[in-house]
Amino acid sequence: MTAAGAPGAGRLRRWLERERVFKWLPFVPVQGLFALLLLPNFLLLVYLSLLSWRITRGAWWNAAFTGLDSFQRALEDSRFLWALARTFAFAAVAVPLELLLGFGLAMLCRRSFRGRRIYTSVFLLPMMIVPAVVGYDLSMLLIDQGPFNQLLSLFAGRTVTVRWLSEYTPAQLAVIGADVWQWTALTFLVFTAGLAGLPEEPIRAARVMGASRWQIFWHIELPLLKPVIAIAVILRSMEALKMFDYPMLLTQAGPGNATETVAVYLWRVGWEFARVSDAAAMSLILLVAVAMYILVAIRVLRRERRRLTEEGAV
Amino acid sequence: MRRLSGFLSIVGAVALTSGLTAASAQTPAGTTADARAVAGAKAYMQSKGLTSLKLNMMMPSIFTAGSTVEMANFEKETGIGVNYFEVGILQIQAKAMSEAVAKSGSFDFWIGDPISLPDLAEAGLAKPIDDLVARGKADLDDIVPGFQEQARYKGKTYGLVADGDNFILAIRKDLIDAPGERQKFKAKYGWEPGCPDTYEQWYQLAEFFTRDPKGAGVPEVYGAMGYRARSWGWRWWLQQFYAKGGMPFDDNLKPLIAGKEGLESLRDYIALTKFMPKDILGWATPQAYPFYAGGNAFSIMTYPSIAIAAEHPERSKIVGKNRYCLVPGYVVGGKLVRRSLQGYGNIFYVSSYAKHPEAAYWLAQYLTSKEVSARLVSGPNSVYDPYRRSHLTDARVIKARTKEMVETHLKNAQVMAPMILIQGAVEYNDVLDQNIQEALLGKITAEDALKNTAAAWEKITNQIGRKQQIEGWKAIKPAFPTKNVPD
Repeated sequence: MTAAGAPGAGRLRRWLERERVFKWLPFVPVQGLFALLLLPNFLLLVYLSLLSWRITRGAWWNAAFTGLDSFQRALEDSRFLWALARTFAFAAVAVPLELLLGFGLAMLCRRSFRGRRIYTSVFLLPMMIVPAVVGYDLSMLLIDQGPFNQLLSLFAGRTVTVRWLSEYTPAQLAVIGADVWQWTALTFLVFTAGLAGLPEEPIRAARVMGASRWQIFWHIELPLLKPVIAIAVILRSMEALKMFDYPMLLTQAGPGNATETVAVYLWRVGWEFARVSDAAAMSLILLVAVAMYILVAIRVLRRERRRLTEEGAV
Repeated sequence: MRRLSGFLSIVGAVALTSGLTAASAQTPAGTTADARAVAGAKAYMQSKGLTSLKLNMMMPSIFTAGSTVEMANFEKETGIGVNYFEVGILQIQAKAMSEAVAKSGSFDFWIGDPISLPDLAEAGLAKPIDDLVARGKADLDDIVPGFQEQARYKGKTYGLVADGDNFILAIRKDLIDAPGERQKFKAKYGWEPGCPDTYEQWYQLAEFFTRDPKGAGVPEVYGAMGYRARSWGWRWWLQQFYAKGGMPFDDNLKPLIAGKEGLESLRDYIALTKFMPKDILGWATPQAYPFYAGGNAFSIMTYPSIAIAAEHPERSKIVGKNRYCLVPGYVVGGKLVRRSLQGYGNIFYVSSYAKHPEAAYWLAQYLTSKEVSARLVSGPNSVYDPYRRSHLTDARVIKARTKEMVETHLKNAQVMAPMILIQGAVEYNDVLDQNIQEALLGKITAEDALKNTAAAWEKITNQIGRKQQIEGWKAIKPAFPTKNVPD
């Protein structure tokens, strides 16, 4: 056995050591895990979207094959399309705010000063809290005569009564605000890491050549940070497009449908209305929309990397 | 000889097994339903060779505090305890539905509302319990008619009702009796203030007793309260719609809500909202009860457990100052029609995938029996509401709720209508809820809200299958009241 196996093992080792094989080896566990855990689910999702299955209609393997009917229903469902548009709109407001605030805080904490570590920990704290807890706490803080309005009244010098949970626009702002409050911490973390990793040479050279602080920031640091910004945008956008906890806990996705995000609607269609095939089709449509968005972002990221490489900055 | 002895031992084993089966299928000993539940549970434990057992239960978090003492009592007697995992009251349906798919047996039983029953029965999660009810002789005869029917679907019993959740109107008698108020009110509206017979009268009371001396738009006392929040508000409109003589569907399941009854009742529902706290669209029980008990409102239409909050010696500022009223109605064809709605209504359901369905049933029978339910209903943290005739005379229940409240509540039950309890109920109601809220916010007109709802209902019916839905609708129709006003 051993004598017969040894040449085989040697051949295998040599094959593995080949350049074109070896470079792919690190990906094997990830791809294996993907194939094992995600691919079957994804294929099942695609299959379910082609059926006409409700949970109340027996087993899914007995459901009728109806082709693209679920997709047609999804694209004709104005509530789904509104939820999709609303989710992208929420993300379009929340993510830039998180980037700006996170960047600002990272810049503040960049230099060494007394208590810096404490500030850094405090800024990171919201990220550690379970989103459901954030949603629940905010639902208490934001009631009509609650602490938040009292605080606003104190600043305004008159009674301020914003109906954060019961009027259309304020409820939407409350949901966006909750996301910003919690996830600015993540962009702060990403930017802090990005700023710490900036190469010293170009900055020092610019300083020697008499560039002002603003010129260094605008012409050197910010361009160098573009890949980091792109990563922050991708990470936060992916999460913001899945927003579920805040609308559910703050307003039950109301008032009306003011804060019904696509994740909430998908959850309702699948688990409350039992229309699993419709939910599957909708989630595939969402997947395509998000993938397109992320692809654009990755393209931007690659272009910036290439440009910086060509300029010799990285 | 050896063959013969082998044959005899098989015969003996078969006889013994059949004897045991017959014994276990007998009604357990005991003169009351709770005693039979305890005996049944003990026999179950014995038949399984167990000395202790933990059942898994899914429970709305709002019910935990009021339930644990009685569950501990059952454990002391039988060895059967409960590991409960709490879920938000509005998330029960989704959690149960995911179990219907997973079939994991992760919980043996749960408390849920009647709306979810049609879907969960069709999905195979809710287990029919007619045989166990017959065996345990659950004392269902004592339950006020109308409640237990909501735990039945297409002729089968799926649960034991634990909560009489039909709405009641509470008003502040101290404000009415304040010097000069009666005379002023009568001079303005032409009738003696008190419990309103109609929604119009409730509107007048709300208008009169809204107290905003500073005129700042933030009254010291709000004239009315009811639920208007997402996932809740539709129930309050549905009650009003039923009182107007409306029915959601005809016999072919064509929606009828966009007619005159629907429109008028929705306009009245929206009109009354102006006397409510301005952020009422975000409020449910956790906000509404303390607000009313804090003396901030003149009236509230809500669940009967409001009495626990309003009469709480430490937490309420209005103990003994409340009057509990029959639900108001409308004059239809010259006759007053009152309708109350079973607005949530908790039911113990047993899972088809339970590891110990029988043990779960015995616990449910114990908790819903005459004696134990009276203890649950009168507990200081209870949100279980009276639903048995015996609660009417039980001193503990009367002490916790007041005699007037229990009597009025059970009278309201005589004119109690069910929610829309057919397959897809959650979706039908969600669409209605969404449109009502849009109308409340002024985003669409009342007329459009009802037309949109009717159109969406048609789509849902067609998607599920009209024939099947007609069958379901026929099955729930006997649960509608035949009386217009209680005796």
